[in-house]
Amino acid sequence: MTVGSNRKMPLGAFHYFFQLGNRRVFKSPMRAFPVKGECIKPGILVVILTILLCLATAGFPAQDELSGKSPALNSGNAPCTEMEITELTVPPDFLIVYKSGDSHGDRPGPRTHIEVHANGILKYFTGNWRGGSVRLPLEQREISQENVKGIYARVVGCGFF
Amino acid sequence: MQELLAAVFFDLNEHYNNPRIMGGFSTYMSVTASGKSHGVSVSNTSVKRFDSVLKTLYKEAGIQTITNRSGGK
Repeated sequence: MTVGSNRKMPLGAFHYFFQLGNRRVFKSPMRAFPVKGECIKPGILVVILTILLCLATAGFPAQDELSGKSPALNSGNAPCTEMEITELTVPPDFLIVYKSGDSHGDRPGPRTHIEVHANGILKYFTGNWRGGSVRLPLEQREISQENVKGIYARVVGCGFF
Repeated sequence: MQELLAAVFFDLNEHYNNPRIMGGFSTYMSVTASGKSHGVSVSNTSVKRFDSVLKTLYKEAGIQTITNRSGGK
């Protein structure tokens, strides 16, 4: 729309972009934009587009370069998800083993060993260990499938693997 | 459901440790399921998701938590 014309054009930034290069009449709602008879300058346009691009990408979470996953989740300190136990099926090869103790493996001292199999077999030891080459005296008993499901659900909900 | 779980899985790292402390107390947990196996070791630091699994393991197995390093309960 040229100066003096009676044609009406819509207002807005898109109008500028599409009319770039032409001398158009424009009723801008913002002073930062060109006024009547002016055309937006390429330099200003680049700045505006850069700001818009930054604003658009600022909302995306940062990604771990190696795993492609959010570092917050990968840190190990993200909250676990509560899983519906009824929707889970424990795989037949499910096995969880937990061990704790002195970093120097053969030193005597407190030790814990807990292992749970998919069929409910629980082998465990908690107490002081004599150290050396003596094997941990594991006790064995059975826990219910509901208990096994509860463990499996927590493993899944915490994204263990 | 299994496909959904596979899609939302995210790994815990294999090692978490405090580099300022050598030796000390260490914990290790490994899980095998559906042909996959993953082990995580934690030394002298705290990892919430690891601790959450451990707490549930103790609870479901009916084992009392050892609250100090001397082996007492």
